[in-house]
Amino acid sequence: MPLPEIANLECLLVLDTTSECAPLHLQYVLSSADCFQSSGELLFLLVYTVALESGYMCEANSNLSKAFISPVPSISSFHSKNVLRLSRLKPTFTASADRTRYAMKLCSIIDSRQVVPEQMHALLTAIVSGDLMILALSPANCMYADGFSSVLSIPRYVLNTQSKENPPFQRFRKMAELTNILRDELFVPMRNKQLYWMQAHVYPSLDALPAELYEYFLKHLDKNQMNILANVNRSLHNIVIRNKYFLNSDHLRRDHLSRSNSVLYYLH
Amino acid sequence: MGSPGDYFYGWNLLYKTIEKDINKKDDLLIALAHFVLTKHSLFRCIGLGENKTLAEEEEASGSELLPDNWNADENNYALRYIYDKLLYILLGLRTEGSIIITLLNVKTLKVSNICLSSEELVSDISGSITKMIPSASQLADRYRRELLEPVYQGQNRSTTTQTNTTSTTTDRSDPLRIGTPLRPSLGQYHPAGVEPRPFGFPEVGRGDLDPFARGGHGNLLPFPSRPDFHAGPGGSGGMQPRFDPFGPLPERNIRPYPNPDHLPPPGFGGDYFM
Repeated sequence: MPLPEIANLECLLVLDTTSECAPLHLQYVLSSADCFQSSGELLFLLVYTVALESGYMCEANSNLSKAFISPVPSISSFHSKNVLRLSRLKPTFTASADRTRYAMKLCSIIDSRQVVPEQMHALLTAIVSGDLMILALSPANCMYADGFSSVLSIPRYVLNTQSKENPPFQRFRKMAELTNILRDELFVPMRNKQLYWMQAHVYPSLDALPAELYEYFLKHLDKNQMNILANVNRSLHNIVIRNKYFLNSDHLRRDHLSRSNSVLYYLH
Repeated sequence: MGSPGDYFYGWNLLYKTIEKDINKKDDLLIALAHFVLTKHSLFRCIGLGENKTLAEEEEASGSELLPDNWNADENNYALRYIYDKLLYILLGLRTEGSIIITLLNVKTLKVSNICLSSEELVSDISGSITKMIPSASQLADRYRRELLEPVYQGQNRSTTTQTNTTSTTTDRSDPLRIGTPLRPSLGQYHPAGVEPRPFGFPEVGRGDLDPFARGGHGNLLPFPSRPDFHAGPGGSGGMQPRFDPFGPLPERNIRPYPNPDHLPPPGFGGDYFM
């Protein structure tokens, strides 16, 4: 199915939503649901839409969408065509009878040949408790890894007005803040974790540089500084201890380090 | 630090009170979470539900027992706890073959979660703790790390459990720290009167704070280790506290002879500012 022309370039993402306009993919997501929705359910659909923008899709749609989903490289997460096409598919989630508990299985869209399915899955759950929505994004159980969670105030983002004539997005407020919270606290850290499991580099960062570049700056570090760098995380540890500058230096073990003039010694 | 037996002391008593209520594996996981909260982190259970207001009479109440009907709902658990006069809500949601347990601090709105599979973790719903949940120690550790720690800063009665991996104190140490910290970490006993010092700073003058000069010499009174330093005013004999020498004193040979500064240096233009 061909994609429509996007008329309004001012309104491309959920964070651009105002009471006058909503991005096309958000309108598709909202149209697939019932016309009368509680604020909690609308907020859950918003969370799902931000998940689409963050490189996720509904796992139940993964077979259906294999034909038209473009793989997303690890250095990015937003792919506009993926988001538009996926937003036309009805989101699949389970909801409790009293519409206070929601659960949806998500799957990260990652361009990786060594994909172990469990590494890409995440379970999104939402508990509506009074005015609060408690969200949790959990990796597959077999990964034995921590999940991420966040609390949102429902009336802060979805007004409680009910009007059948007006489109539901007129009830939305502070979409930029909502997008930032969801991405910062849930979707980005989870996706980074999944990329780490696949040993895909997340984005250019200190521990994700091409191997040959580490030579260039490790030779400028003294043994104290190399020790500190080696203790940041496992990936940097492996990089530092195998580097010839570290092996050739008279390196001392962390717990027997003598005092040096390094300011870092006094800063912990 | 104790053996697994010590950590789970008290579990049998709790289990006896809920034995008849347990009807599914997830119940055991919730009961274990309750045990970790109440036995080792001093939380007290004040009832069921998600009510976020703390009534006055609830502040003083609280029990280590699970309330009646705690597992009446097939797919949901909601328990209220009080710790340090703050309300916490433990929620459990059974979905997609897993249980997601969430702990919410109602005042700060900090939340944590853990997702578990009861089929993998629970072997049986009766018997001893290690028979029912073979990895109970590791699971209790996970509860503490993933559920409790993000949400509250309190004193644990016992901070470590016997696990196969290294103890939690080294897991939590700052990887950027060099050497052992001078200050004891949070949660350990501070003997009264010991002042924590910042890292890396020498204890200069420590003895001044103590009449018996136990911390080494101080700076207020002359110390005997440098008797040859004569920089006091004439007749005072020896070093005076906080005395700043104000000039060459002819009767004290503090400068070598001849004094190199008794004349201006050769080629001196008369301008001290170069």
